Amino acid sequence: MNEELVRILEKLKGYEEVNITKFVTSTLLVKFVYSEIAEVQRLKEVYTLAYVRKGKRFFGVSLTGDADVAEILEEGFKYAVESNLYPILTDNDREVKVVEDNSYLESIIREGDVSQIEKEIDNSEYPVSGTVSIYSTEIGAVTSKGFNGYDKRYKVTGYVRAFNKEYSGQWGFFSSSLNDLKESIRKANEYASISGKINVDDGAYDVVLSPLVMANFMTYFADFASAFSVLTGSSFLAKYKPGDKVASEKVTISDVPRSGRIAEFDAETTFTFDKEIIKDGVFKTLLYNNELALMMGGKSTGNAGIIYPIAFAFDIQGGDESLDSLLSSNRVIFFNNVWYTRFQNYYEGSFSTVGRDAVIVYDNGKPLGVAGRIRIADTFPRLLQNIEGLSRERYWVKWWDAPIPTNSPYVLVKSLKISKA
Amino acid sequence: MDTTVVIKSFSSLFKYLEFREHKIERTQLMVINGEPVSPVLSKSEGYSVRAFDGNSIFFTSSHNISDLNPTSLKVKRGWEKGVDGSKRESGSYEVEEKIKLSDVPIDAKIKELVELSKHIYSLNLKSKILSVNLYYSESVENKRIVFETGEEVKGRIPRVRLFYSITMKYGDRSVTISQDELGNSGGYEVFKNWNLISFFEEKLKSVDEVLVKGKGVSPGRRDVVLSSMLTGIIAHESVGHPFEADRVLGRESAQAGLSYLVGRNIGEKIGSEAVTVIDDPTIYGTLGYYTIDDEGVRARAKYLIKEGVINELLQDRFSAYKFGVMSNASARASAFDREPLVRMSNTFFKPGNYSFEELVEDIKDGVYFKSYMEWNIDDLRVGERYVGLEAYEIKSGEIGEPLLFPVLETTTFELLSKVDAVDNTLKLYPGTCGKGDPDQPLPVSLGGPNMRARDISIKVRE
Repeated sequence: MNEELVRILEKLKGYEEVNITKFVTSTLLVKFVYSEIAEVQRLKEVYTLAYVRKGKRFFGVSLTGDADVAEILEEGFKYAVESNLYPILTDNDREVKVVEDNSYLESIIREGDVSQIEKEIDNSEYPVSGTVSIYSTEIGAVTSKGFNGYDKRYKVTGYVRAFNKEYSGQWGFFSSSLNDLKESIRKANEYASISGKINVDDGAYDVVLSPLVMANFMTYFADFASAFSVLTGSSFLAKYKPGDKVASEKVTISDVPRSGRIAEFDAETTFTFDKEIIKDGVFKTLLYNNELALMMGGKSTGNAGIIYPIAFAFDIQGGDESLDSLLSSNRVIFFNNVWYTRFQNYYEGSFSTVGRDAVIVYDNGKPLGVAGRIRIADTFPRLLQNIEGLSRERYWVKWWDAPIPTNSPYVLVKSLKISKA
Repeated sequence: MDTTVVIKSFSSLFKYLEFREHKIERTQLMVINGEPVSPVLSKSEGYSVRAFDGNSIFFTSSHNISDLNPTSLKVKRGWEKGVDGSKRESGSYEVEEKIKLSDVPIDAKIKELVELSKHIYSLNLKSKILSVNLYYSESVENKRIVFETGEEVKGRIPRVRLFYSITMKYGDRSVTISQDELGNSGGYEVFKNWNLISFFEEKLKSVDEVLVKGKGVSPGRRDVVLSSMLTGIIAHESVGHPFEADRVLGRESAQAGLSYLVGRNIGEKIGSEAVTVIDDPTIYGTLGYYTIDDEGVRARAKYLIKEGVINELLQDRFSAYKFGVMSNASARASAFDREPLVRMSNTFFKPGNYSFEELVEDIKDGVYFKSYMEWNIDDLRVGERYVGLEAYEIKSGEIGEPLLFPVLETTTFELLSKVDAVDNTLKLYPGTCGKGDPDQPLPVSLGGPNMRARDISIKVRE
């Protein structure tokens, strides 16, 4: 792949910086509905992200397929405007190659073999809907600084929703093995099996949030932690500086491109590394690329997107409690899943999110019933500050409304506002 | 390899198939806090085949047509049972660019945005503007679809949109105005017609007044008047989505969920007689415009709710088979590498005969919601919540003082049954509808008239 990129690079002379990065993803996606397979998708996605820069002017492209990248960049650069916000390549002239080998997943993608998935969903007690995606990603990058990198990975992600008449349970996984589908089906069934209704009035309650819920919240935390959001006044973290206490001392949240096996280098060819964004409740760093680090007096954290820094994967540090002990308070509401999280004010972090699946009221560890589709309507800062307990057990999850892989425990949050339509 | 060869290679395994060539070119411009950022060009271009073997659907896509190879599905138990086999339509549709997007230089567009940003910063407001971010996007979507029987559909839609995010602060009150109010299909004339200087002046002065003078709302049940911005999101989220037939059947059950229509029938009453909701792809110049869908079915207006009664669902050929009806042309795909799904187009409440003044005049103590910030709805599309941005008290039949972020939290059934009047206006707003896995964000419109609903629960925001 990279020889082709080098040829493009060689055509682009006279610029201070040139960055050519190509992504190739091959996916086998299986969609099942009520335990029957609705669709098999075989997707090949090839696109090139590239830019050229001269001084304060740059032009960037995102192109699928085999477009003439050099010609489009040359033509487009004529329209580049002078700006103080432009991408900056890292001085990195290394050659790096990371190649994961997973012949089993490779053969499933190649053959379109759905037999193991079909077998697992056949064994589910309740009807299940969901998807499983088995995919390989290849990233090749070359730059005018001499960097030449190649990174190939295999992954399996999936999520399952089990239906027990009007009750449901959901779970998801992010893995390198299709075997994790079985555990997701088991957990979705377990939560779907809890039945009986209970009414919950508006008010403040102690809640236990599952890893699926935390992964959903991390999708938005990624934006809050991006230095770009602070620049645009779209983050509650704009009010804080490193060293400030922003969360309970039990909270440590990290971006983990390495231990999550996501990426070796970022979009500006900075080598990635795992870093704490919040450690023991104290704000450590935003996510930076080179240009925003320069502008805001920080240092790249290896999280470049072009202009917009991104998170790769999250790790929420576990605690020393069991899930049972988190649920053992007088009255606590367990959220198996949420969706449709929306913010009314990014600067304050005020939001609401809607519970779905097994939203269960526990009293001294015993389930009293399912509360249904109630909302958490509070603020992100209060959510972080009120975390009082974390489970030892953690799960790597990712699902449709939580697209950033997250390794999370169950989390007990005291006194969150609950609202009901 | 050409289209004919691809279709032939699939036809031995699949009787039903669609070949699609789909290209979207987009230019995005950003002005962040008055500072222009260089343009970014994106091109999404490729091919796909969706095929059905009577048991399961196979979908394959690539930028390279040679990669489109049939795979024999060895699925034991498929979910699809059949497909509406009514005749495929041929034809084409297009929206004209009166001012061609490519005829206006990019630097001229950036200059207009920078000047607009400077003007916003210069407004005489009591609140402090913390940030102004403008995101301009222009795109041209071209698709060509060829069916197993040789019929062909072509579409070309240029679109222009402007997103904005503005953060303002007054004392300890702050607000992020992050709205998607500006978008149509057409050329650069769309941008010119927005009259953005006065648009932002009016918007920011109005929000400034809320921050400076806004008073808390006392919770309780009130009569409310909802603007077309609110009725638009309600038409989309509370009616459009639950009326997608594939959702009712469960095809989206693990993602965006099911629908309150599961177990309900056509002809059942779910709203007052003042409620009629239409999804109409044939409105020229809208974001959701088309005249033939991606399965070769001629488009028409669909009356989802007619005078309070469930009238018809949004159907594609696969859902139509299961419901025993014919497709009503609701299948669309967002890009070459996405399957066609049942999608909304332009969804709105039908206007009535009242004037806005008549909606307000007999309300003694109510709330007028002009715009909103946070909104969401549960996965059955029943429980919903909107937090007002520009909201005002209604006192003795007149719009009064601004209110500080009142919360409307209700159910779809309560809201639709308590609507007693809609005015004679119709305004459509742009939207990006999300659905499917892999995700398929799709441009749509949503809107309606101003609407009055009686005795609705108003809460205080947390």
